[in-house]
Amino acid sequence: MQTSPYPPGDAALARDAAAARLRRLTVGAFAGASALAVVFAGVASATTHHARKAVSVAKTAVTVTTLPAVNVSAPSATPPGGAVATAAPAAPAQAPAPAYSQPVVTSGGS
Amino acid sequence: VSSEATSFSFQALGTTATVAVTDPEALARAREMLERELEAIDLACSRFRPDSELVALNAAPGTEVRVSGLLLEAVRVALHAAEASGGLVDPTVGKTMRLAGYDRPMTVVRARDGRLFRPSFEPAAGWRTIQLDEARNTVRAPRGVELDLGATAKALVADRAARAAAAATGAGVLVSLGGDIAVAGEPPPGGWSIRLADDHAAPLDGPGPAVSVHSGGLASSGTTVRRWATAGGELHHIVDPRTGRPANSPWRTVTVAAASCVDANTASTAALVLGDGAPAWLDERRLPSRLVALDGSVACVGAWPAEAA
Repeated sequence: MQTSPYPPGDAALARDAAAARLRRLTVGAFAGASALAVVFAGVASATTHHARKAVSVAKTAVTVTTLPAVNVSAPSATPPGGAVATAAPAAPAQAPAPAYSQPVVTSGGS
Repeated sequence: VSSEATSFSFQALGTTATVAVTDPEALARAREMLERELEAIDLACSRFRPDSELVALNAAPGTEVRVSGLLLEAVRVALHAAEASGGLVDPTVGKTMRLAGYDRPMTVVRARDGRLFRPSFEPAAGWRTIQLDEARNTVRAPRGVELDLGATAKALVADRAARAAAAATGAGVLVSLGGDIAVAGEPPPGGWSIRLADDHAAPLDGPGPAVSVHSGGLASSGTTVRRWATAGGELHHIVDPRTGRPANSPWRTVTVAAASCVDANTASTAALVLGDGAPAWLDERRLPSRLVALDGSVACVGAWPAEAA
């Protein structure tokens, strides 16, 4: 059985000693919690930093694979028949002339 | 001389298809080739067939869609026409065409009570928004963009069919789709005689001038034929991409001769949209042209043969 180091009846001294022990314990617990918080914050920071790096790498990869698919946003300059394209409608080799024979067809709106 | 040519006409793509040849024995083969081209282009480019590739493409905005070689070519030709016309002929007018009420075959559009349809309009998104990947056979249209290839697809078929039939038969061949005409091979002596009118369905012996064509294409665009009623008034199908509305043109019919039917159609449509500046625009490009104003007066441009007043 544990006995008090103070003389019997000196209750005030015992109370003060107990209060001092409680204060030391509280300060110690607080310091420990603070240290743990710093440690966890560091771990969390390091984890987030690595994740950002991963996202950055992924974005780079997407860009690289997407570029070839966007390679033709303008029309090909090849007209039907494979002739060389012109910037404007091409003129006929020979202009129309007055016709004197029976028409085979009518051109007009449709 | 032109009596040596034999021709055959039938209905296709909502208009009249005609094939004429210089050798009567070539007609059956040429007709068969034209019919095959027409069926293929309809399946690829129709806005109204639920099983067409274009309907599937328009239903998948923002997605790269793998397409057939023919649809890829049709889109490429449409984009080239847009570039060549400075955007006056633009395939991204599909949405505004639908909003304006041209959302089904013209016979069906005309059959409904137009007074009950309230049209709306939207400027075209612009041909540069379309992504064409030739290597992977894919087309991508952004969200909110619908393609309408009607302006150039018919002309493309005329060019393809005339070339193919001439090559296969060795005869001179003329193909007309609603008045958009391509010729290939050796023409008849004096050239192919073509009558001009506001409506391609006008009779061959009706009034109006005729011209002879030896090569390339000749196309007419007009605002008097393909029209429909709406609650907002009567509309026509030549759309100004800048406004999304039917072009308010001083011309009612423009006919252009060019190196191909696609080029002729591109220029005639662009001229209608351009309006007052069309004669100068056509002349700068050395495109022989005939423009009929709303009052019926005629302006001939470049090397187009003059007409008696």
